[in-house]
Amino acid sequence: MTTTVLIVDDSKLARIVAAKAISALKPSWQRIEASNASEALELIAKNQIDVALLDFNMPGINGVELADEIRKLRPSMPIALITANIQNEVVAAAKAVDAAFVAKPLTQEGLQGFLDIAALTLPAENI
Amino acid sequence: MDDLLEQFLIEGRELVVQASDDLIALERSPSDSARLDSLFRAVHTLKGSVALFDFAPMGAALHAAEDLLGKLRAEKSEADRSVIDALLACIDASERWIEAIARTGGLPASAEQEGRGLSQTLSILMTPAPGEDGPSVEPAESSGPSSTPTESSTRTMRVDTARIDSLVDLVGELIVAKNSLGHLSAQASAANSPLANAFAANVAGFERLTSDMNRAVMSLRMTPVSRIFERFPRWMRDTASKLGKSVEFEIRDGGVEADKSIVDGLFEPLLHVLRNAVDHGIEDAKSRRSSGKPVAGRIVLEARADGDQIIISVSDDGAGLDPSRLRSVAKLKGLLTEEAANALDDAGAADLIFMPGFSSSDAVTEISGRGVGMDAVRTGIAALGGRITVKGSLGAGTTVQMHLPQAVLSRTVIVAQAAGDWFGIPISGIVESARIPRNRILPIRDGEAFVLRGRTLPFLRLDELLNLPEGGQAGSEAKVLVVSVGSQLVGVEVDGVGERLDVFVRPLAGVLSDLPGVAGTALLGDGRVLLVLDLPALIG
Repeated sequence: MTTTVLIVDDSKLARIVAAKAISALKPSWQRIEASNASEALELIAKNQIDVALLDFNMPGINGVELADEIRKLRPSMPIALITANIQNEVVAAAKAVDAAFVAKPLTQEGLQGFLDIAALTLPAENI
Repeated sequence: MDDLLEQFLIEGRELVVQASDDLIALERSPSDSARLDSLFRAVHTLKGSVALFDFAPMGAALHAAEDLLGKLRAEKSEADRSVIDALLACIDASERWIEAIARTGGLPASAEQEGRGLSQTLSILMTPAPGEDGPSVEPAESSGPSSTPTESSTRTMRVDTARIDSLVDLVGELIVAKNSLGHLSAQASAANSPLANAFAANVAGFERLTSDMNRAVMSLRMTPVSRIFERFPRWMRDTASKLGKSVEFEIRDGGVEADKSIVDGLFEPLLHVLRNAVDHGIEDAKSRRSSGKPVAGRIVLEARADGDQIIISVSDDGAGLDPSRLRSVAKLKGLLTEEAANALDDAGAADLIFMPGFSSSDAVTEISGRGVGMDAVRTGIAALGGRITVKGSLGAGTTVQMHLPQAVLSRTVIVAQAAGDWFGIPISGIVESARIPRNRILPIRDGEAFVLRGRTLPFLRLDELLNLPEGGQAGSEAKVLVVSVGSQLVGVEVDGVGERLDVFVRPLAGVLSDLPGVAGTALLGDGRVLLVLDLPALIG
C-alpha cells in the first residue's frame, strides 16, 4: 500500500506547487487533491489517506477547523497547515489540533521536515 | 508557456475580479464583514501565488494591502474613502501587471516604482492619521487611466475579441436552433393537444430568452460613436485652415452606440462627407458675406438613435445643391439620357452625386475627383448594411444622412417567394406591403408604374430583378413590397409573402462575396438556406 497524501487548497496553483514538491521529495507517494473542506472530508471517508496538507486560508471552513474535523476521524494522521501568516493565534490553534506548520510559499526545503517526520510515524513498509 | 505561470494567470485574473467585486460591495456597505473577509482572502491568495515567481514589486504591494485588510478585520473597523481608493489602486495595478505578465512573461519596468508607491500609501493608511498637519492621503499615482475616484463604480474587464466573436457565433447558432424549434412547435400546434400547447408556450419562453441573450451579446460589442467622432475636430480645424475656410464645427453624438464593426466602418465614409462639406459645401468668406451669411460656416455632425437603427447626419449651411446643374452634368457626362435626367425630381437629382463617375466641374465649387468620393461613400455605407441620402436647397446648405443598423447580429427578414424560390428581404428596407390590382399597373416608357396614395412608384418584379424565369402572374392582384431605395420608393412584386423571421445573416465568402444585391445567407430552422437580398443594391 503506497502512502497517500491529501492536498487541500482552494487555489489550484497552490495545489500544483504542493504536488510538485511532494513528488520531488517522495516520488513513490500518491497524491489526492481537494479544493475545500467538504471535498476533503469526503475523500478521507472514502479513501485510505495517510498524510494531509491543508491550506489555512480557505473560504468557509478554514484549515484549522478542517484539521480539527479530520482529527476526529483519524486521531494520529500527520497533518500540516500551510500558511503565509504565522501569527500567534493561528499557531496556538494548530497546536491544539496537533498539526504542524509549513510556510507558504511552499518549497521542498520547507516541506521536507514535515514529510520525513510523517513518514516515520507511518507503518514501516510505507516509508 | 510554463504551466505554472499559465495557472497563475488564470487564477490571478479571477482573484482580481473577486477582489474588485468585494471592494465595490464593501464601498457600498462598509460594515459587510463577509465581504471584507472575502477581499482579504483574495488578496492573500493572490499574494501567495505571486510569491512563487519573481514578481517582487507586485508581491510587496499586495502584502501591504493584505496587512491593511488584516488590520481592518482584526479591529472590526470600516474602510473609509482613502482606504478604498488605495486598495482599488492596488487591485487595478495587479490587473495590469497580470496582463503584462501574460504578454511578456514579466512585470513592466514601471512596476518597481509603482509597487513601491502603492506599498507606501497602504502602509501609511495602517497608521492612524496624524491630524491636520499630516498630508491627506492620495491614492498612489499609477500609470494606468483607471485610478480616478469618480470612476470607481464603473468596472471594466478586458476581454479577448476572439472570445466575444465565438460567443457571437454561438448566439447565431442559438437563433437557428430557436427558429427550428419554432418551426416544429408550429407543426405540433396543428394537433392542438394539451402537450402541443404546452410545448408552444415553452417555445415562446425560449424565444424570449434567445432574444434577451442576443441583445446581451450584442451589447458586448457596442461602441459609442463618439469614439470616432472625437477624431474629427482636430482634423476639421487643420483641413478648414488648409482650404482657407472658416468653420464652426459642432458634434452631437447623442450617446449613440453601435456595433464595433459599424462604428469602425463609419470612419472613412464620414471623413469623405466632412471633407466635402468643408471643401464644397462651405463657400469662401467673400461669397458668404455677399449672400448675407456669417463668415464662419457651420457644420454639424449629429448622431441619433431611431429604433434599432442609428442616423448619422452631416449638415452644413453652405452652397447647397443645384438640381438643374446636377441634371445637366449627368447629361453632359453621358450618365443619363436627356429624358431620364429631366424625369428626375429634385430629390432624385440630389441623389446623382452618388452616381459612379459623377463629378461636377465648376469654377466656383471645384468638385473634381469628388465623384469618386461620394460613390465610394455609398458603397461603404451599404457594406455596413445602411443607406445614405442627401438633400439640400440651393444656397441654403446640404444635409447628408446615413441610416445604419445598430447591430450586426441578427436581422429581421420577410421571406418572399419569387420564381419558385424563397428569399429573405430585410425588414428595415420594407416600407409596406400592398396588393395592387393588376389593372392599375400601367406601362411607362420601358417599364411599369403604379399609383399608391397619390404617389407614382416604379413597378418591378423580383424574379426579373434576380434574372430568374418569370413566374406566372397569378391572380388579379399583385403582391407588392414597397421598398425604399435611396430617397425613392419602389414597388417590387413577389409571388408570395411568407413569415417574418429573425435570422443571423452570414455574409457570402470567397468567390460569391461580390455578388451584388445579396446581403448574405441565413440558415433556416428547417435546414433550408435562405438567400438574403439587398434590394436597394439589386434595384440600384
